[in-house]
Amino acid sequence: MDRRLLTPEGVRSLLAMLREDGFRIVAPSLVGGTVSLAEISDLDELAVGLALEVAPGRTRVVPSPAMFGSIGGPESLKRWQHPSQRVIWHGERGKNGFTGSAVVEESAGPVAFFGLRACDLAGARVLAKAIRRPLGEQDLVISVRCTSSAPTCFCTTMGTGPDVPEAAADLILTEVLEPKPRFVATAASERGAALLGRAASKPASAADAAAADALVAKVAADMPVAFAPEAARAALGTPSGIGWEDIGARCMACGNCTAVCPTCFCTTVVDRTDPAATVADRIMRWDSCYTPWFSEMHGGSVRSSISARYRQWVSHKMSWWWEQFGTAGCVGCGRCIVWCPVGIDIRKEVEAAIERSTAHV
Amino acid sequence: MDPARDPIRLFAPETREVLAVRKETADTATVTLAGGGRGFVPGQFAMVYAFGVGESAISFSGDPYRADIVEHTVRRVGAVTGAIGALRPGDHIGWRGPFGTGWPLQRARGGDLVIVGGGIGLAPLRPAILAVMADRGAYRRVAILVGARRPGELLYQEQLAEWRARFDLDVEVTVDAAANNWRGSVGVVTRLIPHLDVEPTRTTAMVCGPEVMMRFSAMELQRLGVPSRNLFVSVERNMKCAIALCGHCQLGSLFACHEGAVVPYDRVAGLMEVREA
Repeated sequence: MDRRLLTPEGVRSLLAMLREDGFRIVAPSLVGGTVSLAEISDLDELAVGLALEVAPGRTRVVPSPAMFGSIGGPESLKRWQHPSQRVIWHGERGKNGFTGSAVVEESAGPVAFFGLRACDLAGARVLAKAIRRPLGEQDLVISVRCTSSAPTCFCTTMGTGPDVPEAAADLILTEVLEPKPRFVATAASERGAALLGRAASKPASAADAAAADALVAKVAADMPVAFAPEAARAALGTPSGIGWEDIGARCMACGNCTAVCPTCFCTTVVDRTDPAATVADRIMRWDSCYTPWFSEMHGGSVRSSISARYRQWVSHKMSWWWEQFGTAGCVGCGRCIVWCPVGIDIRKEVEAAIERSTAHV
Repeated sequence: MDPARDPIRLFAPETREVLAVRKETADTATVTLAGGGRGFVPGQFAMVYAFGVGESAISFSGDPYRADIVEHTVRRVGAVTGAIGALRPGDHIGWRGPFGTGWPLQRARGGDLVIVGGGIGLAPLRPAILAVMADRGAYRRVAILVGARRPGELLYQEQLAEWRARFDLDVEVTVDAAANNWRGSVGVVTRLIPHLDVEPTRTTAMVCGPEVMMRFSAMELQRLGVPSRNLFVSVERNMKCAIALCGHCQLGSLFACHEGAVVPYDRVAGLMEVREA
């Protein structure tokens, strides 16, 4: 498709137009001391010129020469695709038992997601399979291709990035800083083309397009391949009782990794009642396989040890997901590494599991 | 997010009246609910909802041919099952179902059938036994092995006595431990398996009970010569949604609520050998 050039002001004008069109805007914003996807009510809330310096168990907001340089913030599309808490049923007790009905969410209006990375879009695709609930058709996706990566990134290992497939977005932007900041824009859908057509832009030269592609290609080339996904799938296919003691001692089973993971989909349902229990709301909320109650049955948890819970999580991500949904459950975004309070690196744990499985053959 | 495609609608229970509550053991009761089982097959389960407390996955334990009622045998082990166990006739309860897979009764036709139930594990097998008895000519030998920890924990005692009186069923009952006044068999249920009078290669086995009991039953049945592909077990996991959506019941790649609860033993044998899988 045609590629156009936008100035940084041109990108802002895209967002302003979307707001006028009635879209809620979800974009990188400085919230809670970090740069994260968030719904913004004003374009000034955009995290412009900020990036995250990330490492296992560590993040810091730092200035960035790029307009949209942040990678690794805690929120993914999951927050909007699969709400963390929602009432799904409301019931009232009467003289003859009780009556109730499903509470189906009213849409709060279409969302324009801005600044999504290739891993974010892959995460949304994978999550949609598990929750059988894609993004709304009215939602709009503006992706920003990665022109830098974090040390926690491993999208090339999982085959999800850094390039953005056109089918995944409406508009794809690539930020080029030299010699002066500009965005190469590719409309990837009719809606994306219509939007781009309304902004002040000019045709991108072949040199501009090549410069943008080269930046993305360099990110891919520089990112180390962490492990072979097919080896991980094989190694974690049958749970092994050996080798998990060490991770069990390091992991605190806090569930941060499952909360920030763009594909972790598990939920529980709890009842909320008034004191007299005349009304009851059934509330679905995110759950984590790291909690002791996750596998609770009469007589206790199936997975009472933290070792078993970590094994469950990583085996599901890397192996069982394939059988269930035809894809890996991991997209290589690295959030679980960044937001783990003790810096557990899934790449190293998977590598160790692969080594153990080959050593025992 | 598209509300029309929201699977959340599948979580809404219907309200059912409790018609009867029959005490089975000190902590177990069979509740009879008005309304049929929506064509359930033996081995399937329903999600039973105690208002304001929560839901629990409970197997059908009654006659699959009754269109007017359903029965569930519930052991009080937690808040939800405690609330279900405290129901009285005239009370109301939430219900949705049926869910999961059933026992391979079709597949078993024309051959011998071995049914092994341990403790509350006899409950999901009872509809299968009732279905077999309604169509007794379709099977060759039918053996039912029942185990419980103590004599007082044997379910359906009157019915067990009726079944034992029949000439077309081999029913054996054993308990793990008993006081001096028990004159029956003592020992784990798996010890009855070597004495089965069946043609192993033509035998289908349906086993339900604690995981360790199912594992040893499978071992004993295979030792007897029953091919592993003819062994079926019912796996139990924490189930919240019953539609392979909440993730709780996973056992390896298996969503126990959807691809199970009844599964070929070969599907889970490897997983059952691993601690905390």
